[in-house]
Amino acid sequence: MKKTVTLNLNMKELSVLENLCSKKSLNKTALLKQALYLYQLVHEKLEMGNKLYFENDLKDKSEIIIL
Amino acid sequence: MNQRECYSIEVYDKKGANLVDAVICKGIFDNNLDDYVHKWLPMFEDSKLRLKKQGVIIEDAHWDWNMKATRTEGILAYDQYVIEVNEETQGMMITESTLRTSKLENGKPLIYIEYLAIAPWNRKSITKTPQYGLVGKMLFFQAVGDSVEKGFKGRVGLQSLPGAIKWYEHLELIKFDIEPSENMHYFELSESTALKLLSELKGGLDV
Repeated sequence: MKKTVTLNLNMKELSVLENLCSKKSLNKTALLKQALYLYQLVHEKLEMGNKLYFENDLKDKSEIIIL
Repeated sequence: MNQRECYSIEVYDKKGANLVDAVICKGIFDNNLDDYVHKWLPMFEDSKLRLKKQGVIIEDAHWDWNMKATRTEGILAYDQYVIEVNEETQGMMITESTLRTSKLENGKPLIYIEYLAIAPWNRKSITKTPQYGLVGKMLFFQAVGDSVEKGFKGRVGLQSLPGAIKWYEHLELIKFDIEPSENMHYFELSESTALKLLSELKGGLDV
């Protein structure tokens, strides 16, 4: 079963959403689902005590702090 | 997960040389894990020594499906699938849809097949008389279908165990060189090949 929800975004947020939709070739629903999936996954990992890192080409790691 | 989402498919009974009814279901349930523990694992164990003498290794025999199913259950980014014939587990797959992106399409999302395995009695590498064909292919097509449904245009990626490389090449996935940080070849299904495969599926699969 699916339900429709209304999302209120300001112009800046909407602009970011539309820009990401364009880059990823996704519609807004698909992109927001992707964001939700990722957020849940990161949340679950952090709750288990894991840390989130980004690594650049030089193998420098920076920990991402999520509040 | 309380209720099973299943739909009917057909797989090829190699012994009877005919198509038989099967179901593909979302979620790996206790009955599937029971089959894995009490049917798959004993056959892996029985075959290991015999195959080792022939220089054949069962590359996924160490996969712990209990752990994999538990670790991914309830996480939206992961989907689990099984194929059953007469309520017996013939294959299992876990996909992920958020963390990896396409190498062919410049970072666009795709369905990544984390794990795909068929029951040992369906493998010609283990038995001279495999029981069911099309099990792995139907699981793979499920991933392609999910990719289309999620708006990913059929893009699917995976890392192949050495023994499955020819199978993915046969499906016309693009093979990438092994990168230093990895130890397996990365394969990706392009949008155009996905469309072609799905149209073949509608017209009937080669068995």
